Amino acid sequence: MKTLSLVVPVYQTRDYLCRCLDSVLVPEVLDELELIVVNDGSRDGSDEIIRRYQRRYPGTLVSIDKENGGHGSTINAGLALASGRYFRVLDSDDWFDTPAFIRMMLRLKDRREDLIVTPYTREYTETGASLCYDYPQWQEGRSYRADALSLSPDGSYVCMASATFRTALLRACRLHLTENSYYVDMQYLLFPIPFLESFCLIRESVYRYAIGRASQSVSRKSMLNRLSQHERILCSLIEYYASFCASLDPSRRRYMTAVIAQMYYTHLSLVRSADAGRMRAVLGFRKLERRAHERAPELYQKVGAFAYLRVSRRLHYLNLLFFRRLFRLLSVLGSHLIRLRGPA
Amino acid sequence: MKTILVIAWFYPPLCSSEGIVTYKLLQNSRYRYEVFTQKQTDSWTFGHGMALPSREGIHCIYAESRTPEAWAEEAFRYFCQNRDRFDIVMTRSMPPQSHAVGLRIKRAFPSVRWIASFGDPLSDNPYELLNGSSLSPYALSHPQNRDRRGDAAFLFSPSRLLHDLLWRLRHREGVRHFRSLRKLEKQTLVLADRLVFNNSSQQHLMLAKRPAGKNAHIIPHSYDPSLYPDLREHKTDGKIRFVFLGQLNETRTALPLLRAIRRLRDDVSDLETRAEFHFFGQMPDRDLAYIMRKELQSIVRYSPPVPYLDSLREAQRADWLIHIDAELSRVCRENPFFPGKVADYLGAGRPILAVGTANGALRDCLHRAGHLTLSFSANEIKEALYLILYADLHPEVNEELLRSFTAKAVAARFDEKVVQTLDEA
Repeated sequence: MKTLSLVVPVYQTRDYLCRCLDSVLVPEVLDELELIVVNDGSRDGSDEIIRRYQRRYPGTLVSIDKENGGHGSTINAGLALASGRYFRVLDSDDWFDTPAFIRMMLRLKDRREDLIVTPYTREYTETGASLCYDYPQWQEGRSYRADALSLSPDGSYVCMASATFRTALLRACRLHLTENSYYVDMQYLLFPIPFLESFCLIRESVYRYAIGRASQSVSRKSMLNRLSQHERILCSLIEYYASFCASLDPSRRRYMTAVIAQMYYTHLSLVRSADAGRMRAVLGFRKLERRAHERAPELYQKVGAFAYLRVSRRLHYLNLLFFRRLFRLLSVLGSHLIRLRGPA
Repeated sequence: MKTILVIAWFYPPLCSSEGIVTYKLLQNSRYRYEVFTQKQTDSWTFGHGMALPSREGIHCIYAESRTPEAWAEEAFRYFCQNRDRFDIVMTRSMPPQSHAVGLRIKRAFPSVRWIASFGDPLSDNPYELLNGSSLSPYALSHPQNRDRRGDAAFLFSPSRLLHDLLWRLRHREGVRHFRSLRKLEKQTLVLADRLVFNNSSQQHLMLAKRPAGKNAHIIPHSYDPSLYPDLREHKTDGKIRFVFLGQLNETRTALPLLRAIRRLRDDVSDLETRAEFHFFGQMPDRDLAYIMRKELQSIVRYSPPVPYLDSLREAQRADWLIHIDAELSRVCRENPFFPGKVADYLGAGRPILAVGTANGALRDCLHRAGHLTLSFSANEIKEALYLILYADLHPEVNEELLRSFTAKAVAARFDEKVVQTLDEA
């Protein structure tokens, strides 16, 4: 059995694919790596690149060619095929730091935990800036029980770029991500949590998360365009949390609510700034709130700590529909006035 | 066959990128040319004395003037005196006075066909915008504010309006110069019979808001295989040699690459026995200081500029060639530059590692040709260097695409456009 099954979902990323594949297909790891490249119906020539690499690495690279079904569908397909002890996802427009990956692979062989966390680095490719996200709350190499799971001091949670799950754990939780939708990484990260028993941190910043493409799912513009998908995934997380919260220990409950709350606030901010279809977005948000209130009151209460949301609830969300620009203008004028008055 | 008058401030033996580009085009074209140029001053060049072979049919006329304005006046006089010998006039955009002469000729003699060839954009030059000397960074029309134009708070911000006003007062001269360039560019785009751009991104940028465009053509920069030496040297040290040729400055800096080298050295123990980075040209103090401070001297070497033909030899001797772009993402979404040096790199037949190449024609071309195009991320560059040095990464170069950049092929495309221009006459 190979140590790691690495799934690379590919959709129209011809320009970045070689960078991604080259960074993992190095002789030091070939014997221990199963690379599953899932072409999600790309029509930009990515399939040709995949075939070329498959010819070069027949014992390591497995490819799946499928109809377009979104990020979740590629992970579902990859997981169905995965035979490695551990499972990880690498988006095809990102890459791994090869020396760090080699070191991580060496150490992964001896690990038995359900989740291996590694720091990751965000690469702002337009400016060249990079920002490393670490998890200083955990000691390197130490095995933790699942109840030690927590957010890092800066509020970061274990994200797609930092998580390596035991394949058996993902199968045990019957992980199946929503298809034809963005933001399924939140499902990928939270669905296994109730089943998690142990985890450990390997302090190797392996994942290089490239930021800067306008079409990226995390760019504000594309998030606004896909507001309904964001809502759908958030709903699924609330439902999932509601069905498991009774059986979870307090720390895992805290962790899950904190992560869902972050997505909740992002959603509120998107609803607030939506121009097209704002009425529908606000109505959807009201529905979402009602559902959270009924199904997961603890979560509903926790997200209510945010003053703006509390005010919105009091005003029956009318502030999200009207006076938006007025509020913004007032706040801008206010900030200018403060600046003109100078320091107190 | 009548002769084409080329009005170009830069032309060999003056050593400048602009002159070399013009030289390669004319040298491989099948028409007769008179090049009205100058060798009184070598400002903005790397000096005199670039000995390049010249074919029959190209005759240079050297002006007496030392300033572009006086040179332009002389060029116009020369054309008027020899009006009957020329059906076509071609002007190059550096310096802009060359197009000003073309404009003057076109207005005085409307039947003369005018080809306006652009090296870089005149008015919306991203470098100028970045340096903040031509357009107020607080102006709504500045590209860095493109996403905030619909924002009422930004639009009516008293702070922005005040800053804008103060900036305009402080940069009166620059603003006036910018306006005159914009006017010249607009008139050139409207009146010239043929517009020649060197890449599609430049064309998009310059014709985006302009009425012209019907006669626009892309004639890319080229390489001339006959200028490269027949190299039979064998390396003995076993190191992979990365070579950068050209000018670096505070805007176009090698720092991301140097940072990547430093990080790689910290990651692996034997970098200095495996790789050598050699920079030829000018390097800003900040980059040199970084090399000293991080003790990279055993890996990174720096040499002053070398003559053009020597630079081609150095390019051929390299294992990898490095191209570095400026960080222009704040002021343009598509990089409109395609340096002539990159065409010479393509001709050297070595793989290219291009750093910071933003979206645009250059990136597309290098990518299609099989070369490595990287962002400014030091980690991404480090990763590429690691794979080159330790995993034997070697791009598969697209030979067919390379052939389309030979000076003969490019000049043939240019000649076609000349024929069309003559047919219209």
